[in-house]
This record gives sequence, C-alpha cells and structure tokens, in this order.
Amino acid sequence: MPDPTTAAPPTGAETSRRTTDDIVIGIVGSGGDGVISSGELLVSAAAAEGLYATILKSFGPQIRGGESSCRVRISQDEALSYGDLLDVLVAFNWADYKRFREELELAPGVVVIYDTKDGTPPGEIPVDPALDPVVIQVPFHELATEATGSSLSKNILVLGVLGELFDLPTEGIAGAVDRKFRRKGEEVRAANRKALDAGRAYVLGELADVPIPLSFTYETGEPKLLMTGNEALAFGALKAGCRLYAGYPITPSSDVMEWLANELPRFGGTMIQTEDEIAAIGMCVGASFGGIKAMTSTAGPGLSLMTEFLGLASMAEIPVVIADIQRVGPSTGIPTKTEQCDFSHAVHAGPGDTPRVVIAPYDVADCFHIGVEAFNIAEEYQTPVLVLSDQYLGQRKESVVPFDIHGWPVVSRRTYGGNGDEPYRRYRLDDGDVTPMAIPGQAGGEHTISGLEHVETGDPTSSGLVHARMTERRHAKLERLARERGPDLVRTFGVESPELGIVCWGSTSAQAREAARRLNREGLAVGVFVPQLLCPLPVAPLAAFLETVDRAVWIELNHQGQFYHWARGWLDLDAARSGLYARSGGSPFSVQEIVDQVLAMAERA
Amino acid sequence: MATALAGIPRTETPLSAKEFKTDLKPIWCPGCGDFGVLAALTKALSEVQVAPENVAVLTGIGCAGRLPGYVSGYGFNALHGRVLPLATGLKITRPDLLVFAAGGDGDGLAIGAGHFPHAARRNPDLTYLMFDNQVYGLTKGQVSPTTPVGDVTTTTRFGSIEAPMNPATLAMAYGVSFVARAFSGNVSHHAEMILEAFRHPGFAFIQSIPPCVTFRGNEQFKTIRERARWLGEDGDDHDPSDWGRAWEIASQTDIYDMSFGIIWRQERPTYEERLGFLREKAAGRGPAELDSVLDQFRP
Repeated sequence: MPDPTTAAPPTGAETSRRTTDDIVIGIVGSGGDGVISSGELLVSAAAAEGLYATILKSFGPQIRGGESSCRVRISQDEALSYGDLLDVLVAFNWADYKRFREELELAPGVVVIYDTKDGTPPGEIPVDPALDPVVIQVPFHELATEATGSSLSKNILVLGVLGELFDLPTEGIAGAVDRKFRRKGEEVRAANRKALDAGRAYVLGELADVPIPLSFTYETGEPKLLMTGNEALAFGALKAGCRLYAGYPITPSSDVMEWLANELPRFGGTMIQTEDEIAAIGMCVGASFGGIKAMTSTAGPGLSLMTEFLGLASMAEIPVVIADIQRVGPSTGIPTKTEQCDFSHAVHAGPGDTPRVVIAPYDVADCFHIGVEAFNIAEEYQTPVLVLSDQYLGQRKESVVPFDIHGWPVVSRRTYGGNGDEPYRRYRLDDGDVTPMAIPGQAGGEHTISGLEHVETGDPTSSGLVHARMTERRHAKLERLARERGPDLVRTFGVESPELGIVCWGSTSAQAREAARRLNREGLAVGVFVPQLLCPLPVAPLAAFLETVDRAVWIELNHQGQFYHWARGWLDLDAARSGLYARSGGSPFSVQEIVDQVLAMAERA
Repeated sequence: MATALAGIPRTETPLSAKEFKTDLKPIWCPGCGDFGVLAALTKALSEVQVAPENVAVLTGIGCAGRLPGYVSGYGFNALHGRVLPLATGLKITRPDLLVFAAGGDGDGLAIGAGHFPHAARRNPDLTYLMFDNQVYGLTKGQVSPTTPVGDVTTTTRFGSIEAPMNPATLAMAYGVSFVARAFSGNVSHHAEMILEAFRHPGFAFIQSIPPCVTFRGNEQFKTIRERARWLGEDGDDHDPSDWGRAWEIASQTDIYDMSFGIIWRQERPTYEERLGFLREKAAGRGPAELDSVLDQFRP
C-alpha cells in the first residue's frame, strides 16, 4: 500500500492555512457506503452546536444500492444556499464521483480525500489539476475493518477524519454518532465510537505532517432544529388542523405522506394511500365537504391527474390544499431532480374560468409557514390552494432557528349559523363572495352542490346570465385575496433602497438572496423580491418594488420563464429595464450564476 | 364487530318517504326506472330513522348523477366515475353520517372502474348503488360496459362487439362484503335492499336495474317483472353466506333471467374500525401535542 502522505505530495503545500466559518463538503460513494448517513450526521452535529447547516442529497436512478452523493454546508451565519463549490470532496470511489461530477463542482484549492481501496493513482483522479487540489488518500475501508471488524463503519470513520482535518465540531460529531446508534445497543454504539476515534487518530498520526489549507472556526450557540422542506410543510399542515391526508406515492413528494402517516393518527387524523392521484384529491374533497381540513401532495405527473377534481373544488367552492413538490418535467421527466416547471400548470390547469390560489414557500422554515397559510387561505376563501415546492426545497434538510409553533394564527372556514326560516343558500349573490358553509350534520343547512353551474341554492342551472354572475362572484374572492393578503405574502431582501432588483419565487430565492448579499458586500445595491402568493399575483407590491429599482432580472428554474410571462400579463414591464434568466437543467442555480446575471444586467447599456 | 349504523344519530321523528323528496323536479324521462330507485331510497331513509342533516347522497355523472338534488339531506353531484373516492373521504372522516353513493354502469365500470376494487378492500361503512341500465342515457344512447353483445346503440350501429362486464361477479371478486341486486319496478323490495345495505356494517353494493325506456325500449319493465325471481321468496332459500350459490346467482347477466335479493353478505372489520385500532397503536408515539411533534426535529 502506498503511503498516502508521500504518494500524494499535496500541491497546495505552500499555501498557509486559511480559516473559514463557512465550509462545503461533498461526499460520494455507492449505496452501501453510507454516504447520506455521513452527511446527515455532520448537519446534526452542526445544528446541535448552534451552527447553520444544510444537506442536499442526490441519488442515481437505482432503487437501492446505486451511487449516491450529498453536499453539506456548515456555516456560522445563515446558510441560504447549498454553496456553489466544494471546499472538500470525499470520494469512496471515483467511478461514482464521475456520475455526480456536474453536480459537485470543486473550488480552487479543494481538499480531495479518497479511499486508498479505489486504487486510482493520485495523478490520475478525475479532478482538474488547474484547481490545484490537495489530494489525500485514506485507507477508509481498511481502517474501519481494523477498528470495528467491519468496513461498514467507514462512513463514521470518515467523520473522524473530517472533524480532525478541518477542526469541525468533533464533540458535536461524537454526540451525533452516539444519538444515532444509541437505540441500537451499547455494542453498536461503541463500535461506531471506535471508528470515529480511529479516523481522528489516523489524522493525528499518519496525516500530522500534511499541510491542510483550511480550518473551520465557529462559536457555538443555541441548537437549531433540523428538518426537510417536506417535513416542514407537513408539520405546517398538521398545525393548521389538517386531519385527512390522501395521497399516492410519487418522487419527490412521498415523504410528506410518510411523515403524516406517522403523525396524523395520534391527532385523530387519517393518512390514506389511495389507488391513484384522482382518488387522492377526491377523498380530500369528500372530507372537506364534511368540514374536515384535508390535503394531498404530489409532483407534476400527479397534478395532471388531479386537474379534474381541482376544477370541481373550484366550482363547488370546497377548500382543499394540494402541494406540488415539483420535479423535472414534462411527463415523467427526471423524478429525482428539481425544477420550477409546473408554475403554468398550477395557475392555469383545468377547463373553464377556474379560480384557484397558488402559493410558494421560499425556504425550509417557510414551508411550515406556507403549510399553515395554505389552509388558512383555502378555508377563508373556500377555494383550492396549490403549494408549489420542489425537490430542492422539499428534500433538502436544513437547520431552522427554533420557532414558536403556537404563534401562528389558524383560520377555519365560516360555517352556517342558522337562517331562521329562510332556506339555506350555499352561494349567495347578495352577501359578498364567500357564503358561510353548511356542513353535513347541521340541521337546516341541507343542500346539494355539484360541478354544474348553479343558482344560489346550489341547484343546477343552464342560464348563461346566472353563469356570468357566478363566475364574477368566484373570481371576486381572488381579487379580494390579492388586496387583503397580497402585501403580507411577499418578501423583500437585500438593501433598503435597491438599484438593481432580482425577482424570483420559491426555492430559487435562497441562492438569489445569497447572491444579493455577496453583491451588497461588493457595494452594489441589490434587492430581492420574492412573492409567496403567485396567483392571484400581488400586483401592487410587485409594481412598487419594480418602481424602486433601475433594473430587475427575473430568475426561475424552467425553460419558458413561466412566472415572468404570467406577471407580464398583469403588469407592463419596461423591456429596457427588465431581463429574464430562465433555464432548465435539473440542478438548482448556483449563487455565482445569479451574481453573473445581475452584473450583466447592471452593465447592460 | 361493528353494529349496523353505529355512530349515526337517529331521530325519533323521522321524515316520511315523501318528505325525504325535495321539490326539485327530476330531469329524468317520463317512465324512467330511476324514479323507482328514488322512491326506494326515500322509503329506506324514512325507515332507517335518520335525520336528513345526517344523510349525504353523493353521485358521479350521468342520469343517476342528478339523484342528490331530489333527496332531502346533503348532496354532492361530483365528477364522472369519482364518487367512491369522494364518498370514502367523507365517510372515514365523518363516521356520523349516513353516506349513500350512486352512479351509473358507465360511471362505475368504465371511467371509474379503478376505484371500485379499492373501496371494496377498504370496506368503509357506506352504500354504493349502481344504476345498471346497460346504456349511456344522459349523453343519449351510447354503448356502455354492461350492454350485451350485438345490441345496437348510437355508437354501435352494427351491434356491440365487446363483451359486457358483470357488476355483481366483479363486486364479489373484489371482496365487496355485501352484494345485492334490485329492480326499480319493485319499489318495496328495492327499498328493502337499500335498508339491508344501510344495516350492513361495511361497503355494501347494490346492482340496481332501472330500465331506460328511452334508449332500451318499453318492454323491459314488463318483461323483467314477469320473469324476475326473488331470493328468499317462493321457496327460494338462498343463504347469502353461501359463496358458491352466491357466485352462481351473481353470474346471471340476462336481465330477463335474473334473481333479485341479497346475493352475498360477509361481516368483516370496516375501514373505520381498523382506523380506530391504528390510532390506538399510534398513540404510543406520544401525546397529540404539537410540541411533542417538534421534538423529533431537535438534533
């Protein structure tokens, strides 16, 4: 076995050690390598120490045992994005790395650590020498076998190596490992502790003389919570009083269903896995007709199937929440990769003049907020509400500053309170745009509803005049929503009086905010406008923002610029002062990509 | 085991069958078999002694789809083929309601066929009545999944060349826990079938034959009435727990050579009962408090 310290003379040996409070680590390997567990333990350790952390996982198409990778970012200050470039790359083997190469871009001076077992000579690894990488081989497999009798623990051993090499919170890591294996018994816990210690000892012994260019510095603080966007959204729904979730498995939305399957029953609720997405939303509409708050969640292909019931809920004015955890489309697309490509479908789906509300959370913590808000809007305005999340937001685990779950207002629909002798009218034309709903079980409120156009009582009609009145009534509530709630359901970030604007929505906001921070530090006055409410569009706040900036660039992760064109239908944009950067590709924007767009906009004559 | 109609509030002053009918005038053709089903349903509702506010009549699309508007209570005329998901969603979250779902043969066996087996295996405590008139009536006379081979319709001018489906054997094969067959020309027997379905704890299916006088001719009523056999009557001693004979009866597809009555009945746990057990198990996870849920997110 070649001595790793001599076999790979680190080319960055001359550089002095740089300290950072923001580090990005990528780990890649095969299914059995435990790559994802390693990453999760790192973020768990960081969150326990009060640091910000985020993990983005990526898998090959195999059901099990395929290649997988994760990237972990740990930072003292709020980690808004996944971090563009890797400071550290751990590869259990290079064949797997090659599959994720385009997702795991490396920073200049990157520290590359790989398993000696891979056998690729350091000079032949697939890393651009121009990056001036520091290459270290570690016999992970062998060390783990020596320490614990099984190579399985190499993903824990790697944490010992990383902790010691980069001064990561080693006690935090040890704590995270203990917590993970505590329930598996003392023997397992002790074995993993041994693996961790073996990793640390290897660095202190064999790698003592290897100059490491990077050192992580931090101050500990109040522990953070750790959750995925999908968990936060599901938790928000639970908080809002959702008591029926009906769904059909689909990547990347299934974890919403799996989480609620665990949590709903003890709250007297129900999670039911249906025969298809049509039945899923159908059960929700049925339950909501009965006064029960209900939700389903899906991805693009499932939303196609739900379109029929979406129209019915809109026509019959039944509150229902539909989350779309977007993935690459069209059709089956790429199930495991992210895109913001369902916007047009969400706002337009269905025949007829079909009102619905579309809202989007902009980070993991906001998924909780939007989970509550989706129900509040559905209930108050008696309408279907679509939540547009995506794979990047839904499946990344992120540190969240602990929040008060009791501090959120929860709204429930107004219900029928008795009319005296007057018969109940479900859709009154003389009392605003929403009529308090009579719920089955309420005497005096009996009525029949349908997807047919109807008169005030709910009875069918084929009168065009009544249809026109009812259509106006159904759309009036959207106008009211934009007016009443629009100003609360937008966020602006960056400097107070921006000269350059970024307009984006949903998960892209994370990188846009970080891009703005970076540019603000360089002296550019950049602001970011993020509407959470997308349909109806909060035109007034958006127009006001566009008025304050000289120029704005609209950024979204789809080919067509779906949101941009939607917004242009609602307000006139000055072509000279606005630009669109929209792309597909299945990978979230990097911060640099957005920085470049803003700079190009700034320089545009 | 659940008792029938458990959890549904009963009233001491039930409406009469007539009072269970609304003032809305049905759009059905004069002489339509659906009138008989409506009469049977309101009769059964009156006899089961529930207040109208606890009744929910849900339907798909088709002639049968208009039913809810004609019955006192809460109604929902929903989407073509989707009544079973709707009804299941309502019943499992509101077990205090009497849920009656209905639709035509096209609604349940063509566009909505995928939902039928899943309602069967879940066994929610609701009734599903299929108006099997062997034709698409509302869209004016097209071939349906139960139209016999050779029949001429507006879309089969040279005779249907597709084998018909049999709702009753399908129901049995799917594991429906109660299967009955009724004829709208015999309202009191039909009402009894609906009443038995209400009393059955679980998913109860009724294949109802309401002749379509407009597209299937005027003779059906008369001929069926002349030739119908009634299970449990005139010396028939069918035991609905006898799978073999039940299957034989269910296998009859010629409406002029049919037995009407309860074909198959089996008691097994309802979805709602199993849900209760599941919730008890899940309670072990912790109290129903959001703070305890939040704890799982602490590192």
